Amino acid sequence: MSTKLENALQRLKDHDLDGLREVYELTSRGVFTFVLPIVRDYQLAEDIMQETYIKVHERIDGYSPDTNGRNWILTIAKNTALDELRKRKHEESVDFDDERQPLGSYSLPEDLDTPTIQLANQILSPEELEIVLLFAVGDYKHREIAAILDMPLGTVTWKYKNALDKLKKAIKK
Amino acid sequence: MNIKRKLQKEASTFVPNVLDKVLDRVGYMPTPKPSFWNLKKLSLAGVGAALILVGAVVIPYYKNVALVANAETQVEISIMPASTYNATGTIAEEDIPVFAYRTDKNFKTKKLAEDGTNAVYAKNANAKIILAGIGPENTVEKPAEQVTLSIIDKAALSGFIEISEVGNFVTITTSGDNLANRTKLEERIYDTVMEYFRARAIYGVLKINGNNQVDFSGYDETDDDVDEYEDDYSSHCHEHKDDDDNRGQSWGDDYDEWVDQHDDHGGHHGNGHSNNRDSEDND
Repeated sequence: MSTKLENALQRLKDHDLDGLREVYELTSRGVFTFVLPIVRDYQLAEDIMQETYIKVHERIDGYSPDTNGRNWILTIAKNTALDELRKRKHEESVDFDDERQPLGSYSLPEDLDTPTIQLANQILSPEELEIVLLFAVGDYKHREIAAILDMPLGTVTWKYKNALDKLKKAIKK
Repeated sequence: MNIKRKLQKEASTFVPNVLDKVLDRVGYMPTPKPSFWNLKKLSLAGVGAALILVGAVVIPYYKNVALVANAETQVEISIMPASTYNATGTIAEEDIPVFAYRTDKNFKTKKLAEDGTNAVYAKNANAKIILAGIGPENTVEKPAEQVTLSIIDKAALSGFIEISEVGNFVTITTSGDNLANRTKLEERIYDTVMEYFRARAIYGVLKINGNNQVDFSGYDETDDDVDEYEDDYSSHCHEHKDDDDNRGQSWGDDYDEWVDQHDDHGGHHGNGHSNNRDSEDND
């Protein structure tokens, strides 16, 4: 049975742009939380998310209904993110700009009203943070996260539990 | 509020919305509705064809052919409480509250009878207790997913969905000639109910059992005795008011894993609810 996403992609393929709106609504959280750990910069992740959906629109004729819709979109998102990083790396090497974000945290806007996520960004390890965001914000299931991160399911659930424990303790303090 | 719910609550603020920018860049313009006055541009033959078409639609209408009858969707809801699911022995049919209602093409609930004040048929005593909590009059011409949620919410308040127990199964059976309508309605109900379960961390799973005949047999349009169950509803609520005191203490990953394991919306299978536990286990 086709999922809602595959139906929406098919509508887009049939030149119904409302299909794009639906595709966005069904996947935007997942795409953003998937891209953010790759680029580690909120603003850049936002730009890549935008580019991703524009490419989804441009490339929809190449989408096959037999394909898993979300994987197809995530592949576009990942390639877009990696292309952008390569481009930036090249520019940085010319500019001698070696500034990097500290490991384990993303560059987030200061005015973002998300205290728990910001706390997670400060105290969790990169993997824990990624798992927490994919699960709680991106709405991925544990087994999907295991596939995305190429980790055993048990490791994902264990790290997720550890991350929640850390957050609970930090909040209590 | 537990951490996961805090994170989920922050998710909508955290994830930026770039939809307008995307639509702007791909040149999205909503399709304008065709104007009736475009008829002026049609040739005489075109106008003739349009009139024939109008006649084809209007004449059967006046002949009392129910043009929208096919848009009706019937829905049955059965609620398997966790303790019933987990109990040994045969499950008595009356332990499982069962409801049925009909919707119009806009997925609004229809009155059961022309002169009635109720849109939901409560099939057994337990269902009537729950319906008394909602108030039958509050079920008429309401969005189907809202009525479904009211039923489930009142069932939870009065202990028929046991919040802290594993094994609450709500089965939705739909029937109707219009497959697209039915599917759309199933998706709406599924999203609404699962969001409710997840938001309250209830060990509950909604199963969609599409394309099975909804049974209104036994429904008597004059049967309007739900009000008699108001006291029963209150006493059930009183008995179960502390049921969720332990919420948040014991669940975490296991809750999500459990829901994932039983989250079988895609599987339209089975033949309505069953009082045979083996068939539930197979699900």
